[in-house]
Amino acid sequence: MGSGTVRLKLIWAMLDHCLPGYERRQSKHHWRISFGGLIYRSLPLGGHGKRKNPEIQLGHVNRLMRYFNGVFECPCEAAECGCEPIDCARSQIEQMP
Amino acid sequence: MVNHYPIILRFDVNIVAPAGFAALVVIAGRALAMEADGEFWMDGVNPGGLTADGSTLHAAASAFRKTVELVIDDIADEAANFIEFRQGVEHFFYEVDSQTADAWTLAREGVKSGAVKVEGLLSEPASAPAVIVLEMERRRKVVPEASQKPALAA
Repeated sequence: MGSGTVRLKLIWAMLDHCLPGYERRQSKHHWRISFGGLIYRSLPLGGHGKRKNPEIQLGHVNRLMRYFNGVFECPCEAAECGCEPIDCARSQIEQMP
Repeated sequence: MVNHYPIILRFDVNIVAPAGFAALVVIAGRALAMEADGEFWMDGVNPGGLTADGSTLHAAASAFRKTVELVIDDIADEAANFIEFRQGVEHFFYEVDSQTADAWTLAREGVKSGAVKVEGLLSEPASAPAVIVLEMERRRKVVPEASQKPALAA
């Protein structure tokens, strides 16, 4: 479900592909991801001193993508990446369970 | 195999915002805990839009509460005044993804039928989720500390 980690820059690349037009904003404690009128509010910033491209637990990516399930529009052919956000994430991040 | 647990969480959060107001946020929320491979993740239902993890269900609940507190602090950090803060917290609390809400309801049926139990966690009737945001002159506790433990929704 959430074992393993992924670099933040890879998450941004995945979101560019899977949630085109999404917006991200850094708050005091988290990254805030907005898409389709919904806001995911708890993507970690990473540990202090490691915030340029930190390792993020895959469980956060899993939850982030499932949160946008209701407003997701498949950006690619179903055979390529599936038509649920989590499938799209798996097509972009090989470590995703 | 992933086990799902419908969790009720009640706690309050004291805020002193940079804009100069103080607030008390009283939360009666819902979260869906999932156990897989010895790891627990707790996804928010009300509030949605967040998750937290821990090595035990209680650790995940504690991390979830801390995450809610930090998100509320984020909202306070950006609010120009109390009204804006209250609107931000209410938006955060009531924004729900239906998939997780449905999974919570399904998991609750498991508790009601007696199929799902968690050692050390009481089962109690689930009331509607709610958040109350009060402007305060000074800090105080509304939900007694003893009542701020997570419980199974029945």
